[in-house]
Amino acid sequence: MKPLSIIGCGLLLLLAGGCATAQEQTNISPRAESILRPALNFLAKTPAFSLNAEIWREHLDEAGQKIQFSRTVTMDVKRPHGLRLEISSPNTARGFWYDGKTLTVLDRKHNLYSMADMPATLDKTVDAAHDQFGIDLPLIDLALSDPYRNAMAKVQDGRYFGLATVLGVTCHHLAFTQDNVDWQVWVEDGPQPLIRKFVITHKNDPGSPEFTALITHWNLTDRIADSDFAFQAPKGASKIEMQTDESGSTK
Amino acid sequence: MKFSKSDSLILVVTLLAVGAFCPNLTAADWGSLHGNNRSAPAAPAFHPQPQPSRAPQENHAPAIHPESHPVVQPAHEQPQQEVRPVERPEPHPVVEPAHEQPRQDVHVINIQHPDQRPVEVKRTPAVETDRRRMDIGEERRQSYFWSDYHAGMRIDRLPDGYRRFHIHDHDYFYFGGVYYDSGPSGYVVCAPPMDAEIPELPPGAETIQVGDAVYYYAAGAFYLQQPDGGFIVVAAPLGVTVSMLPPDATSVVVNGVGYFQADGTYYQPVMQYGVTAYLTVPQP
Repeated sequence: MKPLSIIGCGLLLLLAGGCATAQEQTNISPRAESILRPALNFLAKTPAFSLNAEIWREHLDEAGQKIQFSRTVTMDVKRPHGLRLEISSPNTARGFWYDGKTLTVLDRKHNLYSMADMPATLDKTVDAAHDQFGIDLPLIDLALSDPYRNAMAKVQDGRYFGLATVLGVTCHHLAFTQDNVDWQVWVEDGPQPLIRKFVITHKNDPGSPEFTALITHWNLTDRIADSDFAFQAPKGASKIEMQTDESGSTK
Repeated sequence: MKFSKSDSLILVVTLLAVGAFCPNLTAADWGSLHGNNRSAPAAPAFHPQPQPSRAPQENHAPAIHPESHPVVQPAHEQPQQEVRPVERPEPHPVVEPAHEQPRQDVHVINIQHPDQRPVEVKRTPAVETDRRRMDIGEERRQSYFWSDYHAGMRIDRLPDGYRRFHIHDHDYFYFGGVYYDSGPSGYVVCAPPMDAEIPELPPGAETIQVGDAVYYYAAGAFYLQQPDGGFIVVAAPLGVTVSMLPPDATSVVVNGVGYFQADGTYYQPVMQYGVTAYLTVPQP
């Protein structure tokens, strides 16, 4: 074999091995795995649920100061094709509806709405909304059919940090590492292992800004009617175009 | 060093394998792991940053707290600094007309006129950094000095650190993204005068790329950077999307279609990345 061939093959093996290591979940503590998997599988088996959350987003402003912005979120999920989301603050309010056919976004402040055809399942719709329109909904990880697989897709390292209290609820504190982000999750210690807090650290961005969600209320029992996922335009609302994402950054 | 066919084949296979095996290494989204994991590596998108002005800076305008109202004083104080008038032998960069052939990296869309004539305009892909912050635009906007001012608003005293222009045979004053004209008593906020040049962009400026041209947008004015580092006010390019309306934008309805209008520019609301943004369109 020629020297260059040997070098090429060696480089190939080295890179393939390195990248494969990065993709494999080889360094997750058994304790962390034993808490996160049942929690997310419990959620996956819940046919419908509602939650209320307070989310915080950090933004590095022009002066380099890290500023936190907050929103309240209410989410109704009915598997496999019902999603209702409200994201609001004193400055802005947006609603999202998905009924198995159409995604509707309503800007309540300006009374403007926009609609787009979507696939028949929530999973595919979440992908399509992201890829086609650049829409990334907060906490949408919880609505996917297999939230554990979604959460662990790119995890390299997972650790357990013991018990902590979140909004008065005793929780298990877990932390995970990926190439692009780090994230932490707090899982309720009890018969219903619900997610109570979630933090994503954008460690590769200047200032490592974070997204934080505090889930203040879960409801796993109330029946959610299919009609709740059907959009009814408010009086006087105007329909506007939903622009496709052509920035090339989400595909 | 010469490569044989087999060597070249090995190298090609190696490079393809690297691309196939390696995971995406960049994040682009905020509120979910799904979004972060699904985002592709950062596109080789142009992320232009304004270059610092090469012109000497006499002084930096001090921050004026938005809530502080100017003190009533006679309007005869001397300006802190003079701004050179814009007198150029060369014409200013011309905003691309809507009928020019599109460049490769500019997306052409059709805007439906109320009279049903489609008008071809160009839409510019948003810069990633702008996309991320769009859903907090309402809050960010309120933090900027210019957000408290709108055309026609009268003030008694100019903010400390203001600049004076003499342009198109008229005196204007500027501070923090706000342009002022002399009034019967005091000063009146006015639309950004075309061709006015400022040494630094107003706070909150968005970057907009149109083909090879890079525009900046803040407080309702579009700017192009000049070779000397300054920024001049130019006409709004058609078919670009901005996250905030000018402070003095007013709602207009033409043939049942809602628009916003400010300083001669029409903005059509669109849903972009799940939030309302505004597309510059021809006068309906």
